[in-house]
Amino acid sequence: MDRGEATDVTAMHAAIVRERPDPVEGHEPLNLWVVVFIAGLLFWAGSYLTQYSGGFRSDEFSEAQINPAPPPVEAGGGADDPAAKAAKEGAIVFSTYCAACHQADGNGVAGQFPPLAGSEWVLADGPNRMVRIVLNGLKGPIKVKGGDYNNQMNAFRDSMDDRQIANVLTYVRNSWGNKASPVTAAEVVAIRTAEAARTGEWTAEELEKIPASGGTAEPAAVGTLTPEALKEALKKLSPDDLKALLQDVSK
Amino acid sequence: MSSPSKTFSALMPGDLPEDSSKRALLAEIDASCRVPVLFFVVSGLLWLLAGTALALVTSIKLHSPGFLASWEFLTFGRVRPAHLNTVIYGFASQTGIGVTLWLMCRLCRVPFVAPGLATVAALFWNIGLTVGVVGILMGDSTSIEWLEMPRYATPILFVSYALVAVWAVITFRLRQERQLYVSQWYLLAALLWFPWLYATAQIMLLIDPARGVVQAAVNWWFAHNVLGLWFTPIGLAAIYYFIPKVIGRPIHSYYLSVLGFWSLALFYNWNGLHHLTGGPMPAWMITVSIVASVMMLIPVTTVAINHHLTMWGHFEKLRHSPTLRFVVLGAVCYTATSLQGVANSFRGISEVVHFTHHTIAHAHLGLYGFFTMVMFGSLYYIVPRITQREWPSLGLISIHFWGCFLGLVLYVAPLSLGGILQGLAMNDASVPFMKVVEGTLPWLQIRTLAGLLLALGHVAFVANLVWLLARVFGPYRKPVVAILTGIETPAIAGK
Amino acid sequence: MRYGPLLFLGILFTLASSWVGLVLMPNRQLGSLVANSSTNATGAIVLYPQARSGEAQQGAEHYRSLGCIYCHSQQIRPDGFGSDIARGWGKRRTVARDYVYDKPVMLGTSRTGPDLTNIGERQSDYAWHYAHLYDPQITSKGSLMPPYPFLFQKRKMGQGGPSPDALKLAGEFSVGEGWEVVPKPAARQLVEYLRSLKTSFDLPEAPLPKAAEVTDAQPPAK
Repeated sequence: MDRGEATDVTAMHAAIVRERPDPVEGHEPLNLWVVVFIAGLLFWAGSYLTQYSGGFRSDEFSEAQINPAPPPVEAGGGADDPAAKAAKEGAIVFSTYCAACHQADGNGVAGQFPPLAGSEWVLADGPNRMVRIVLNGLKGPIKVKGGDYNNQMNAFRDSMDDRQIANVLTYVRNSWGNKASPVTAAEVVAIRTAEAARTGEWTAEELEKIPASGGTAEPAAVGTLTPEALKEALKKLSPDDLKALLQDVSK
Repeated sequence: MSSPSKTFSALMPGDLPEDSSKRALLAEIDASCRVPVLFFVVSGLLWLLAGTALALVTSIKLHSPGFLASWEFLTFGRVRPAHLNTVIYGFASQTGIGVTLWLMCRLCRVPFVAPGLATVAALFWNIGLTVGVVGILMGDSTSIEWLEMPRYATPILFVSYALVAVWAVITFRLRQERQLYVSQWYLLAALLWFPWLYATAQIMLLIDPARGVVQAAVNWWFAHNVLGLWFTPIGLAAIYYFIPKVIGRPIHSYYLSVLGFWSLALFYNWNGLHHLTGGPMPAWMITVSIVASVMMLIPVTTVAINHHLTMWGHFEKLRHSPTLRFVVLGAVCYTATSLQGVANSFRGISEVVHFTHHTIAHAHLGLYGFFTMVMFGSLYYIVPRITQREWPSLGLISIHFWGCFLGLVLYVAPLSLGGILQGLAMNDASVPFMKVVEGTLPWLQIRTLAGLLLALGHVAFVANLVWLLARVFGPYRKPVVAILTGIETPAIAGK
Repeated sequence: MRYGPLLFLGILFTLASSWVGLVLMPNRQLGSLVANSSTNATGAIVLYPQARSGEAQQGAEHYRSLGCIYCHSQQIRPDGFGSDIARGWGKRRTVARDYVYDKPVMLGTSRTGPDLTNIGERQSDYAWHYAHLYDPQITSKGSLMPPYPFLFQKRKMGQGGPSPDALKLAGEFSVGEGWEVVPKPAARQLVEYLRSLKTSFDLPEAPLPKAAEVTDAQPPAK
């Protein structure tokens, strides 16, 4: 590139000149410890493969297949301090399902999601309305602590079991300065059974008709709907309507 | 003026006397490499600058999510894969190919065959890459990690690669040197393995996608093997060449070289599915990958012994040779990242570090600490020989080395620790998720700082290179800075 | 080593081993996996997983294009391995069958944000998702998730007041009198996709856990 006019040829090739010869391999013999190390690793590999391969099956996802673990049971009550455990679970359930909208500090988001801290709905003497909201959701306008909210809360009847609902409601009723009676799983069970036929979210208007506390509240469905009355009503539907209803219900 | 060979033997007492005609062949080989190797190297370094810029943007976005957030083409989920593909396929692969071409020519003792072919290959590679990276930013990312470039870009890259592979086979057939040095085994292996990996991934993930999680298996078989069967062999080949070459001693043990090569070839490619530990894959696939990952201790320790025992007792040479500095740093990082990788593959440790920033730190220790440092070292050696010009500035070399070294330490150490803390917090269900996120903030901010140091190093290097290349176009001048063997050749001294 | 052909054969067979073991074998074992078929209480056949609706599938394309996988995973690890189940991210671990209809499978490898395998069960409220996508700081202050304002359109409010799907923005996020922010079709599709993410279904290879006994009353059968 320099038109070949430089005169100092050796200097031009200084890099090549000072270069050392190309590398060669020495012949240090293989250390015996290397062989021992490799043998040890191979032994470990064999035993690990035998124990944790799940039989090389395509449907075995747990590596401890030889004695497969029974289907996991959710951490139940009993053992050490049940109250502490319940509180801990309540906090975790809140953080998983509720904090996204109602926020970790229970203050909600202005105009969007109502607060739980100091909310009159939370601090009512009994859990009848709260349990229903968690089971089936809530929609339409609602007034909380003087503020207006009009959004939709989804139903958690299939996502949470009765113990989780009881624990999270107890947590909510006793956090951020709230002080109210705990909610028991038995109360949740009773309300869930009573509202078994209910579909669709609650509205604030409907809920206000239900007393906050006191026994197993009557289902607030339109009219009185006993199981027998329900059966009669269903028998009156055409097969197609019945099929459509079943599909709708089983979603 | 004494003849070149006499000058040489006067400089290097005790070394084998070399016939000056063999040196002339080396000069011819270097000259024939000039255009294709420079094309790959310069393109690679320009992509390094682009990749570094994308890296800084990505890093800032992670701790300041509002940064540049209103533009769709700069959203985090796009700049992050753009950064990945730019540095892997733009910088690392092209520089790797450039170094491979030169090493193959030198080791086979054959001047560059069909330089036009390689230059066209480089052109296609750059076109394909540009199309691919722009495609990612425009929204066509495949969201398959390490394979994000859209389908319309990859055939262009494949054509380019096919040309390189053909060239490699021809050069190998024409070789004058019958004995195969260890570097050649690694380079040939890399050149043959890569197209197989790429073709499988393209077919089973993009052209005719496999069903469900089989995609995940193929994805991670591919991605891990790009690291282990493409970048690692090229990096190891360079280390095996440059350490003994620069210090003038043989590699410690041939038998270790053989063991290291074949154990890497056998075990590395089975590692891939350790990326899916705990995931929706049958247990045997994960177990097999964990076993292979632990068996990697064999090649890693044998290579470490070979490299480090060859260096032993010669550490003062690090002061004078930037090549050696970078290459030895790379070799140390190779050992470190491999040991970290073996540890991470155990289920108990994966339980903590999977899904955390620890994995990112590990990836950078490997690709940056090992591969990039080795490439930098190689370039410090190769570029003066193919251009017949010396590096103009010692200062820029220092800035480059210290920027990269300090940046690397500041990146990897804090983020590895931060990732472990993140994982431990995440595994405690009573810690709310937002608290876990808050805990990672300081580590992410330190990482941006580290990135700035790395960027400084890269800019210094490219500036030095541009300065050197500017001199290529001018008439030959005595180098302003005597180069760093610590010896001034008598031919230059006194002028 | 001197022999080129020997080297070549060795290179070939070593990669071939894992190509067979980690690519072909999984494909053989899992490549023709189909949805699980079971009958429900009323005798109807139920398939799981079900193919996504058109809107949700479009949403999956947006999820892919925006690179959500780089912060969100979609896989639940087994109970006791990590805290995925304890955190309520899923009721059981995910298995191969959960992903048979996904193209591409978007398992993710990073949890800068929470796992999304079952986000459709935890969060099915459109308003929440729109607010969160528009600016995550609205619903999750301190989040590292970037805002996606380009998925929404800011426009002048019509005569009759705000549109039904307009975002309710207050305080520092409000856009001024007479203006509203509405989701573009891309936002709607993405939210449909997120709402479709549910895996709490019993599978033979991954049964749902049985609920623990309630201390003071029998729970209703699950």
